[in-house]
Amino acid sequence: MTDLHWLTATDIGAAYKRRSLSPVELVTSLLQRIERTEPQLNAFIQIDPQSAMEAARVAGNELDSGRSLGPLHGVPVGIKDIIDIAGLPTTCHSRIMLDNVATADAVVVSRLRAAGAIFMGKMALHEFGIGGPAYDLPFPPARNPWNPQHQPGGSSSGCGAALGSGMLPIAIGTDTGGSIRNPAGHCGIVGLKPTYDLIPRHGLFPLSFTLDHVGPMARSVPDLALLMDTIASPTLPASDRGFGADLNRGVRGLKIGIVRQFHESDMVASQEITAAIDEVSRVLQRDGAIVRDIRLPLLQEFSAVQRVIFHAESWAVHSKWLAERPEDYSGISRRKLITGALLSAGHYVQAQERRCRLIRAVDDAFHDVDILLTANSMDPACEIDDEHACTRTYSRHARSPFNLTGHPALAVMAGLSQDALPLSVQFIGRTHDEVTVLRTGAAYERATRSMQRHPQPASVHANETEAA
Amino acid sequence: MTEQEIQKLDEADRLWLARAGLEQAMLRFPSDVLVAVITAKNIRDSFGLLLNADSAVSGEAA
Repeated sequence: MTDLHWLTATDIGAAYKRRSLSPVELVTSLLQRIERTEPQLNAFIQIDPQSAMEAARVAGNELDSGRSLGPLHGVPVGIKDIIDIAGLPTTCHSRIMLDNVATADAVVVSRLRAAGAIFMGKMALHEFGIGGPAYDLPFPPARNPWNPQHQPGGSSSGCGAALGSGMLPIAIGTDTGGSIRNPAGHCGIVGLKPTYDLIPRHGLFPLSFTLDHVGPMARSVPDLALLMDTIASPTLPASDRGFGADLNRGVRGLKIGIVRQFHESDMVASQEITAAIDEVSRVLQRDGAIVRDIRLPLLQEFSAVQRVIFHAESWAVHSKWLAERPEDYSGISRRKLITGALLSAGHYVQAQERRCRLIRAVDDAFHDVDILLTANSMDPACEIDDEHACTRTYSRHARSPFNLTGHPALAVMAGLSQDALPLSVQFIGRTHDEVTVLRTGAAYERATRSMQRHPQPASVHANETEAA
Repeated sequence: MTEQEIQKLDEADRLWLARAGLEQAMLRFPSDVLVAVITAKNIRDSFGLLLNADSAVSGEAA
């Protein structure tokens, strides 16, 4: 079997079942891939090869003896380093947390462990999930697998870079203002911010209680469904049939509303993004979806409310350290976190009241359509060392409205820019209707074969050419 | 913060920062604090505008 590093979790499970692949073979191959690729991309804070190989041997023995724990048994996974794995440091990519060793698994990790997944390491992020690419931190910033001179999106940047470059098949990220969907979009993979609280946040270092979400990242929509079946709370209605129940149903008859105002007037997207959204719309229509335009409250309205809640809550988390150890933060985090000190309780309460109105407005939109189609980022990934471009483009997106409202939002790849960088859109669904969101994403993915495109970072390409 | 930078802050912001225990940050990272102050003012202004205006659209089909 060739190209083990591009196998999806679904492929891996099928190969294990056929006995054409073993967990030890796969983990060995991925560790070699990591050794070649990681120096360019800085996707990991910590790689744990010994534990991973040991877990692979155990999984192999269990699978050989017919004791399968399910579809993720023996499948390698990366965990954003803001989520606890017992016995490993959770650094949050920060000097503040360098000595913080987790004493227990986060809920999401314990569910993956029970399902037999293999933890390969802890993934890089933007410090504490805030800020952007920074060099004044104890670990370097992750880079874009399609072009390492560009930023990979964040804050789950290491997860995006590792999946996009074939170092891992699946990962767990977090999303407070788009931190799963941004790197998913820029790294050419898929990422789901599920309905608020569908995946427990216990064991995640918080940034904003109202806006934080845990979610899956992968290289295919069916893999997101597999992950959701394992990590989502089993008592909730959306998980009754399994999150992949409608993956093969197609989009015929599905009503899809394009929120054009987001990228055409509220915040004007680059031409390439606008063209990508139009093309996604055409593909879905061709496959039988009923596509129409729909309006939501202005992005500026979502943003005004989101920024108050985000800054007030993140200040509440970090106020003690900012007072006592301000030098241990990166400059970008310090600037963003101190902002919250200058907002009042009155602002916060009024913003929470406005948030309820915005939730109702989005719920109302779903009386007319089943899925919303929106821009993800408004621009392709900029160069990582262009501080001005990073500052300008990081805030140009349509992701945070759905952190505010809690609706499930999926980022999928939607072609490449002229510079061969991934473009992306979002599908948003009703609260707890991840099944329809994933159905739409899977139909688009099948129609375009979008997830069969992979980057060739220079060093990987050179090594593969040498090997050939 | 330098005298000049402190002058750029209004009294209310200075009070807030002191109450928040950020004296050390003001001394050591004055430009970061200044950016935070400007950003917070921008956030308060945008939010104030929103509160004062009628919400234009609420999920109405186009």
